[in-house]
Amino acid sequence: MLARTSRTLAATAVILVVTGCLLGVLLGDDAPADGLDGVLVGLAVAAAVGVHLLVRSAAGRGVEAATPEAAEDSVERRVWVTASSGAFVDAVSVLVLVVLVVLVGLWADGAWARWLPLAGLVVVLADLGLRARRAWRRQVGDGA
Amino acid sequence: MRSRVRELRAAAGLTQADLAARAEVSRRTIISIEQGRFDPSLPLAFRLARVFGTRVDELFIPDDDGDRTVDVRSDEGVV
Repeated sequence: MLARTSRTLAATAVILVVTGCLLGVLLGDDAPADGLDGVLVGLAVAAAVGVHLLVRSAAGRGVEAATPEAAEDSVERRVWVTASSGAFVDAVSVLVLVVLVVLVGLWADGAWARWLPLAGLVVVLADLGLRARRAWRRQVGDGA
Repeated sequence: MRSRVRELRAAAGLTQADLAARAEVSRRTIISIEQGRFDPSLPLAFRLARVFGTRVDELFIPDDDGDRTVDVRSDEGVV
C-alpha cells in the first residue's frame, strides 16, 4: 500500500515538474517575475501544485481523517464547512483585490506590492478563524 | 428544533459516548443535538432514530409547526 502510494506520488511529482518546465519554456521570460527565467517560473508553479496535492493527500490519509470528528455528520465538520464556505467568497474578493493592486503596483514599480499578497493571506486566514469561532460558538457553545 | 434524544438516551441507559459511537459521530455532536444547538443531517437523524427504535418525526420536533401534520396525498399539502 505504502509502496503504491509512494510510486503514485513520485510519478505525480515528476509529471508536475515536467509540465511546469514545459509551461515555463512555452511562456518564456516573464517580465513581472522580475528576472526569473520562464523555466524557473514553471518549476515554481509545479512545486506549488505538488505541495498542495501532497498536503491534500496527507490530510485525507491521516489518522485525523478517520476520527468521528471528521465524519460527514459531525458538528465539527459542519462548523468547518460553515466557516470555510463563508470565507471562500471573502477570499476570492481579497484575491481579486490583491491582484488588481499588485498589477497597479508593478506598473508603478511599487515595492509595497510585494507584501500585499502576504497581507491578503493574513486577512483571509483571520477571516476564516473568526468565522470558525463564530460557527463553533453557535453550534457547540463555549462550555462544550 | 426540539429533540427527544436526551430523554430516549437516558431511557435506553446509553452514555453520550455510546450513542456517538453507534451513530458514527463525535460525542460533541450528541451534546450539541441534545442542547438544541445543532440540527442533524437527515442521514444522522435516521441513524439516531434507528438506534432508539423510533421514527425521525418522533425524535425531532420542529419548533414552529410541531402540531401540524403534513399529508402529501392531499391537494393542499397540509391538513
